[in-house]
Amino acid sequence: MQTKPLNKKILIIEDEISILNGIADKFAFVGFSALKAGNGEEGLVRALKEHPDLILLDYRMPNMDGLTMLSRLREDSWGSGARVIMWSNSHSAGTIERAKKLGVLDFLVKSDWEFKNVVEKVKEVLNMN
Amino acid sequence: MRLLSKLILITLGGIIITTAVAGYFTFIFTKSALQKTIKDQQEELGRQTMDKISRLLYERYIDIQSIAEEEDLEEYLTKGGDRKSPERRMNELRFLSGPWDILFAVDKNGTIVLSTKKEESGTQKKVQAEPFSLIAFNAALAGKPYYSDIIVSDDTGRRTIIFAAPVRNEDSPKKPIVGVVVANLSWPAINEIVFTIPAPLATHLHDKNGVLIAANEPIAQNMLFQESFRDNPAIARALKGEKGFIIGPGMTHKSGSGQAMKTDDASPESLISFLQEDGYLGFRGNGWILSIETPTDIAFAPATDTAWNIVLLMFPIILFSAALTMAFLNRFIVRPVTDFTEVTNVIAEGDLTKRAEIKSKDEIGKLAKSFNTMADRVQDSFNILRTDKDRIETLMESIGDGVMAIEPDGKIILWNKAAHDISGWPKEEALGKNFHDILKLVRENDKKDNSGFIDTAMKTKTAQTMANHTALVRKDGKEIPVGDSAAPILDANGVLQGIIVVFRDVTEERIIDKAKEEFVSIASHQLRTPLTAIKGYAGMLLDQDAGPLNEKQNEYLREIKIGNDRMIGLVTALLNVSRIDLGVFAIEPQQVNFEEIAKEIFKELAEEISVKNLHIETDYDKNLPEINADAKLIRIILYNLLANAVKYTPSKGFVSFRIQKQNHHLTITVADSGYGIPKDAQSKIFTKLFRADNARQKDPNGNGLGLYIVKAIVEASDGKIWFESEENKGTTFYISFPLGGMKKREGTRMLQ
Repeated sequence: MQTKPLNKKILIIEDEISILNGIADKFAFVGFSALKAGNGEEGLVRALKEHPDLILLDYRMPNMDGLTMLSRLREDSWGSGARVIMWSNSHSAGTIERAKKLGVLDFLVKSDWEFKNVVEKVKEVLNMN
Repeated sequence: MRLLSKLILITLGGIIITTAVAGYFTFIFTKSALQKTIKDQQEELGRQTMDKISRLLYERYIDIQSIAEEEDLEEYLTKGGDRKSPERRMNELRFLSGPWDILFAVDKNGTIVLSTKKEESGTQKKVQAEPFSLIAFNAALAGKPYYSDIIVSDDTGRRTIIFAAPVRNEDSPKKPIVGVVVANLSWPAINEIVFTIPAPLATHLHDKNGVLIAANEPIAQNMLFQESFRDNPAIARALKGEKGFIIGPGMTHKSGSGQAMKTDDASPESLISFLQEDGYLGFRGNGWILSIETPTDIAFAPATDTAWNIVLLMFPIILFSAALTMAFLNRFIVRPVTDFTEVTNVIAEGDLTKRAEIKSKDEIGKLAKSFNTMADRVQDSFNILRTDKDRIETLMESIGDGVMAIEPDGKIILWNKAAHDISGWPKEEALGKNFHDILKLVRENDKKDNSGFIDTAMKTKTAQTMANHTALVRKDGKEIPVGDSAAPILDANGVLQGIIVVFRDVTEERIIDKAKEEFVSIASHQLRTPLTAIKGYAGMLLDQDAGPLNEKQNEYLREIKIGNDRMIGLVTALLNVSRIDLGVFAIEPQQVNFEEIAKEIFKELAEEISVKNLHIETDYDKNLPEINADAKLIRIILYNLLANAVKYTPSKGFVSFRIQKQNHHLTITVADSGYGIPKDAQSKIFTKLFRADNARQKDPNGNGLGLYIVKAIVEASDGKIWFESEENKGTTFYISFPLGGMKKREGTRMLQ
């Protein structure tokens, strides 16, 4: 079912294809323009190219993990202000610490969040409600 | 001083003293005895000499009487006649008896009718012309033989003693006296006797007036017949009739001119023996005195010399026997003692196996025996101790952890092999040094000194654990992570003797822990990924993103979602449990308001509460302080208890929640009127994955990990958890939570 477009771009960086496709679909259903990247490197390239309104960033990924990508992103002038939410199943105090230092807006545990709730959260963060 | 020297000194001293005393007395007594002998001998000599003289005179006395009985003489004096024959006889007799200086016969008228002196023969000289002869004549005429004292003869002019005897007519019945024979003794005969006594014995013959009449000293010859020695003590006594000896000044000594002089004193002290003439048989003598004097130094010289010689002879004998004694003492006493001392020295030096030889049964032997027994005991004790010590050392060296013991002042007194291996400091370099110089413990992050736990152990006398993330700086500067503890060493009185510090290289442990943690992390990630996908897609289907659903589709999808969520819950719980087991979950204390958290939880559970129509009671202490605790962990605790209470209470039941502040802790009480925990399940309620049967019945979805996690967190906070429950009546859980709160702990992961 197609909703009217929201004119918001979201970049989802996730290495698990089925999850990536699922969440991207969800965002698309709601009206986002959902961009996909399968690893950190690809995600960095697309982010710098597309300048999405928000990045949903996984941590554990091949070819550059999420936080490395993020630190690289922050070196970019646009990237330093990009909105990022970390969305990962594995986390530790250290990871969260680093993520906070790199300016993530939130840290969600994937398996605890329904896709629709993730969408809600993103909307909240973008003050779209 | 050595024993032998002492022995020699004592023996020698004793011997010298004894010898000196004995020698002195021997000398004195021997000398005295010998002197007596000498005195006796001298006296005897005197007596014999005097005897000889007396005998001589006696013989002359007899001789004159024999002569008086000569027939020729008798006949001539009686009848007269030819003179020649009796004269010749007289000349014969002069030599046959005597010898006489002169021999003559006098008739009863006093006429010298016969004489050996030619001038007188036939001259008809009257005997009255010779006064001394006259006396003799008259005495004999009276009928008795006569002798005179020493006189100078009228006849011959020589010293002599006149002997006279009456001549009797034997034929006539009355034996009338017809004449007298008179003779002059040859004085040399007496002199001769005196002269037989050899020098240095000075022999003096004195008459009864003390006048010297004969002497054997050539030098005294000029004193003869001159002075009387009557005053001489010896002579004086002799004149009294005594005989014996005195020791006194000699009677004569040489003057400077070589002449003998009479002395009273200041002449060499002499042994003077004296006696008075006793006569011999019929001859009474003239009371002459014989003295023999010898200068004492000459007289007694033999005594002194002999005594000396005897004494001197003693010395070598005594010395010899002394040497012998000392040799024996040395062999039987000193040497055993020396040998024994040698043995004790060897033992003292360290050789405990040495034993004394027991060579005798005397006290020294007994001493050696006792000593050996004692040495045996000492050796045994030493061996036992050494065995124990070796055992302890072996234990120490084989302990895998580094072990260091220090004295209260910090000096290292024990350092085992593992300590060497871990720190790089060998034992020789570590022992005796202050531990701060050797065992450098620092905080891993800022390299600050982290050995405070040792000082704390010392001050509080309690065991202390090393702080987390402590590193040891090796001798070569390398850092290795270490862990372990310090414990005080207290003696029987509780006095601090030192500290034992144990440390181990935890690099391996860390690696392993990290690997475990990584594994759990990866495993949970791997588990969660597909669960996430299912959750996502099921959710989207239920959201009708893929199109509308019929009732059955909706229902089935719900079941999928429920099952999946359960799975996710289980994975999360397992992850927490694994973190609890590893002890690596983080505690980040902050000011936590328990009340607020509880209220949030109640909000979350609100739907279920209203559905079940449960009555909720809450009681928050008015003075409830904010506790320094990890909010997440508190949340887990409270959520678990409250969710359980709600879950396991049937409709219309109640749940109460109370927090109260006590002196040192908070008491949290969660009570319900629910199904309760059966008795047989109560002991297992806190164990992993356990679900009581009734609970499983009521809610098949629980994973049995909640209470395990709650208990772990409570206990990690130094709190306590317990409960009371009765089946179908209700359950009350109590938590006692310290007001001091939770201590910060660095963990690699947080519990979810």
